[in-house]
Amino acid sequence: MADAASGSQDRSVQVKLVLLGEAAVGKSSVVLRFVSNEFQANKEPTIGAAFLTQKCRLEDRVLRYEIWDTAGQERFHSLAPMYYRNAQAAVVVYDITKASSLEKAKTWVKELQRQANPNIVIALAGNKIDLVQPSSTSSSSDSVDAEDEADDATATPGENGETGENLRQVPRDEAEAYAQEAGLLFFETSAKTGEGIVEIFTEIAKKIPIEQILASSRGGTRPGAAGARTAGQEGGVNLEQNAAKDKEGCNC
Amino acid sequence: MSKTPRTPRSRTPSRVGTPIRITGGTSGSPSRLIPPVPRLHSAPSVSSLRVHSAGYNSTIQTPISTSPPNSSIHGDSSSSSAVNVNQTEGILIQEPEVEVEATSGEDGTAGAHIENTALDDVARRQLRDHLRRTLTDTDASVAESGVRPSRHRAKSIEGDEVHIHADSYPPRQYFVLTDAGKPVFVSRQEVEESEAFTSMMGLMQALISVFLDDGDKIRCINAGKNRISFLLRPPLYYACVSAWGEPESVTRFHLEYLHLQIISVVSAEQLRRMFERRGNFDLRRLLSGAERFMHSLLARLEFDLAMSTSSLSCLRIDPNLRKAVADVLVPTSKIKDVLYMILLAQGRVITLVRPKKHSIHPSDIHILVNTIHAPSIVNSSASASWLPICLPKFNSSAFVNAYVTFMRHGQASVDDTAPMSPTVSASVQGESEETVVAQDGSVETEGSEPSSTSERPPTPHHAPEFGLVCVSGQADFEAVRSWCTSVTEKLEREGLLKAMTDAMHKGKTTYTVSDLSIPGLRHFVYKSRPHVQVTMPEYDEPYNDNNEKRRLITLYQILHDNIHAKSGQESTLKLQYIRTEHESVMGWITQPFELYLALSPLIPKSAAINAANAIARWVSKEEKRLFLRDAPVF
Amino acid sequence: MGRVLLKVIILGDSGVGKTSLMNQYVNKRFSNQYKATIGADFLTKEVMVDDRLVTMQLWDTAGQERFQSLGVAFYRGADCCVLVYDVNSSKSFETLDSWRDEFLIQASPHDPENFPFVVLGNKIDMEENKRQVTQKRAMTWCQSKGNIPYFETSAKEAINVEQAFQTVAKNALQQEAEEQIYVDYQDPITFDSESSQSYGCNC
Repeated sequence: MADAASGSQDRSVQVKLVLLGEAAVGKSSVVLRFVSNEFQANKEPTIGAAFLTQKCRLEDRVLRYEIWDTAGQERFHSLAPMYYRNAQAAVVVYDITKASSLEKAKTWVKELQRQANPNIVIALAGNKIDLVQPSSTSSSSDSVDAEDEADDATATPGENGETGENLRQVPRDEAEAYAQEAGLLFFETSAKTGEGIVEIFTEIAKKIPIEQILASSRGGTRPGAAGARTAGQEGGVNLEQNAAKDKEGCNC
Repeated sequence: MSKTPRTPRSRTPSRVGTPIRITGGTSGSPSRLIPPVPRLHSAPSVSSLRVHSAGYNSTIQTPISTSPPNSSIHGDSSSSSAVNVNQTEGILIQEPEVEVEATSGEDGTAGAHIENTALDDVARRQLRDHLRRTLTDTDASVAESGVRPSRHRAKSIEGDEVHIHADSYPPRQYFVLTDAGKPVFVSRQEVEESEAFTSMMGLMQALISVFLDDGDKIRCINAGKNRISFLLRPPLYYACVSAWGEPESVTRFHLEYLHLQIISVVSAEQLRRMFERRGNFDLRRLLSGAERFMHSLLARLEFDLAMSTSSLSCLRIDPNLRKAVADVLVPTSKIKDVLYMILLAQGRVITLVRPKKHSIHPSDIHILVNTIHAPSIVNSSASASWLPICLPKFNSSAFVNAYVTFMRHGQASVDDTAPMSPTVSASVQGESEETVVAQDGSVETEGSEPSSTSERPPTPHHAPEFGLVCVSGQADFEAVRSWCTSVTEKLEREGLLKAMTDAMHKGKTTYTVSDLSIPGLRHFVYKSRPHVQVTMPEYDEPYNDNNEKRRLITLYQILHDNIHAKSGQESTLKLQYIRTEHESVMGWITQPFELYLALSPLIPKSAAINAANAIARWVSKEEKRLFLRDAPVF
Repeated sequence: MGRVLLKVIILGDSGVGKTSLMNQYVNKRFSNQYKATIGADFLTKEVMVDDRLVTMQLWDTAGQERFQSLGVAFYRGADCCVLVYDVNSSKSFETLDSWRDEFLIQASPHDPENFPFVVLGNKIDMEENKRQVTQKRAMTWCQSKGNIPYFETSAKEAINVEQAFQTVAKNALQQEAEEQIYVDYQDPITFDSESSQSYGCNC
């Protein structure tokens, strides 16, 4: 479905999205999975921040995520405001096999709620669920497989490989309840298997107040500053009408 | 003051327990004494002994009076190692020769600090033994690679230099600790995990402190085949254990670089502040994730001759092409607050543009290049990385920002404002696919390979990558990104990426010794002093083996050290020639250049001198291609 | 997060039994040879505190006067301090006060009021009539100095020594816990083209 090609118009809606979370929870892996559909074990720590873009097509418009994958090390913490300033969305990641990472995630949420854009859409993602899932290919060799899987991740494999559940330190209910209370989207994900990754970005897209972005960008502001481009303004395609519709069968 | 709990002070050291035994073997006859190091330009102290094994004769001090063609001589021609080149617009800053600290080396040689008598000579020697044993015991207790180094003696021929070299090169060990004795970094993981490690760090600090207390800023100490060098940069202490036989200045140089790398991560100001507030600060917290920089830096220091000579090694490239690239890099009025724009390929600088009044220190470049080649940046699928970095020589108290992006010919990023093509997905790195969710909720991903979209020409997977780095102060990310994107596009559009890629594919960016057609020549390093840059051919037989390379580099370092008198030699040299059973090497310094060359050992010295002249002529002819000159400023 | 290393100074008169106590307790005895020449021996001990592995770098100092000038260097960056005395020697108890004062002066921790100390009364396995310092007297002193935890022990039973170190490590970690590192990247740098650098450029 080609776009009505008055070729000089960029009709994408730009959404600045930032990933925050403790070091080694899997932020870069989540992004890599989303952007390139890949997974690399033993990923090296991000330095400063990495910047990526990924276009997604909604039914009749294009959403362009401008993603800030931030380094989780302590020394970079004070840089965070620069990354989340004017962000429309944030994904706060924690590692379900590491309880302290949820505590850190909560701190991030608090900071965002205090200092970021008041309309920012925040998703809480509990990553590495592959480590607690029984291996799908196993029959009687559950333990072996689970440990093999665990080797690739950065959590310490449990001694008892049968039920990976004992690696889990953050119960789903607990995190979900917290997310609900704080008004966050909530997902449990695995960058390794891909589970839940696309959902995050899809649900965020649904929740982003596109109309607001478009409206505030009337003045032709810079991308990522107040919001998106003045997409379709002159071209006669009224995205506002479309946006008001229910986004069924939506994507991204 | 309340009564002290200590026993009354006695003049003689009270010894509790048995006298310390000196273990036999390793600390027998030292193979080398490090003399006390006098300040440069002052009268040498009593005993600047440098005892190599028998067969070491006086150095050859033949001044060679050639005026290399096409080089103009500025300033005075002196034998001092402090260079005074009249270069007002140089891209690179000549490192001033490091001030030699007034410290003492081994016992038995003259030292001038006898004020504090808490320790007499005997106790002081015992302390050094402790230090030796501590560090070498650990060394021995950790699994070591292979053969114990043995010493070779080369034949003495016609009164030439002979030199003893190590036979194998067990990895050097580097330690960084706080001045409280807490570990910060150790180069060998096995050591860090060894049982003795934590105590060893404490002991090292204690020993350093004891020496300091005695008015002795310990600098290095010999322990049999090992030499332990120290660098004190409070609140951090650095130490290196090496059995390679390199000059002492070399390992201290490495330690200084480690310090610069740490500064680049935390800045000197933050470092000072942290430790001022809390002496028990654990610096590892701040360096988490940055240890990789230290390891890669050490790996580079082992073989990188540009770093060792405090200069830059640029990619050899057609000067017109280089200039065309540089012109694209010059910031326009659209972008403010840019400090440096650098284009890199194959780990080397192609070109660099800078503000008129701000030349750049080679060490800042090396630290920057080392940092941005971290796997998480170089291998990232991101379109760009953005990181704060402190450039220690530029300003050690503050941070600048580095915007880093990698590109290949044929895959240059497309600007946002470009018209959106019917097949939506752009060819930006990281924008490889669209994720589409169909009406029924199933997820499909369009486009598997970045290169499979029809509008882009297929790019071979081994196409070289170019790194563009924009160093800026407070510039806004978006502005920098937009600027660098336009630079990338222009480089592609004007065919410059293609031209450079072609040059690399055709092997034009490097050369081999055989290109010079000088019989017997195996390798050389030529440093252009006004440009503060080096050039050298690829390593060929026999130096494509790492250990052979190490031996060669150590020999170069010895020459360099003697020529510049970096380790306390009585005076500098203009020329030195050394023969081993494997090769002969020569070092030569003139006003416009320094040259180190390696030849077959069968080549007589006179032929070596001819070879040196021939190299100088060749380099002069090739100069425009080999060095980055006249880069535009803004 | 991550490994924790605590620098622990062990102080006390010679003869109170520090060395045998330490040797009994630690996992890794580095050596006992250094005290005479440099004034300290080094030992390592690992403990678990709230699921965190803590490595303690123990400095068993000699405290002889000829090493007095080294106090600043040795005590620098200490995270906690263990004071040891012999319950059968009143003198060794009385000097604890000086040890503590001296330590605080030389180490100058950033929060001296809350610096984690622990006191060990050693050699309780001797005959009762030999004892010169009562538990009560010791505890009173400890309380007066900011509620320093107090343990009694002998070289034969290491139990209380374990607890003492556990306690002092825990208290040291608590000091650490409130600490947030803030790296300030925003120191403004200006480098307009007009101003030239002033840092040793000789080109």
